[in-house]
Amino acid sequence: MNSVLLTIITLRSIATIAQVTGDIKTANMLRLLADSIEVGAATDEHLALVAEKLKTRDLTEADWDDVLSRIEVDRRRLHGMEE
Amino acid sequence: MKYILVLCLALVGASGCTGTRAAYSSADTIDEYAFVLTEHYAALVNQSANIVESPTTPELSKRVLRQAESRVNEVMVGTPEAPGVALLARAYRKGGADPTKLQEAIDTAIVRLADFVRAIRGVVK
Repeated sequence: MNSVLLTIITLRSIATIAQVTGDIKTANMLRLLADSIEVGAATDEHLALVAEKLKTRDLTEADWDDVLSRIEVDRRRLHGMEE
Repeated sequence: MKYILVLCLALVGASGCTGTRAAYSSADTIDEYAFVLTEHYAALVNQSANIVESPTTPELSKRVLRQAESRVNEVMVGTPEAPGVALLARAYRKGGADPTKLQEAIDTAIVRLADFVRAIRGVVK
């Protein structure tokens, strides 16, 4: 069993335990992490850049403008909206 | 359970998904956490848009992705009348939003973002 699969199984198992003990927020976060691992490397690479940004400086309004702008552009592509 | 979350983030790092782990670990404040969540959502919207634009993607898969994304968008961005995580976090930075409301929005967004991730996973498999 490879390490990625083992990690996913472990995360989901701990999420189940968290849910059973009533810690729903932790359970949801762990399931998000497990699913994100499965979905792929592109997202992970993007978030690595975000991590670097947060480590080196404070957030600015321009950072928020940038991410919201990218979301808008990609939403138009996703939903087939005219420019 | 917080220490368990920290352990799991370490586990995610060990599996090779260091970027995701690093981003969430780097967030020191609630608005930084909101920013990471928003960027995570942005990356998934980009990935979904690429999938939808592929000529081999079935119409049903496109519909699934669009519906899942819309459900995230309403709590992640929202509207001025019903602000989501991103709009609340920006207002919080300026001292104009209740951190409890922002936390509630984050909690809801995590669930819907996970649904979105599962929708993408279902399409790419």
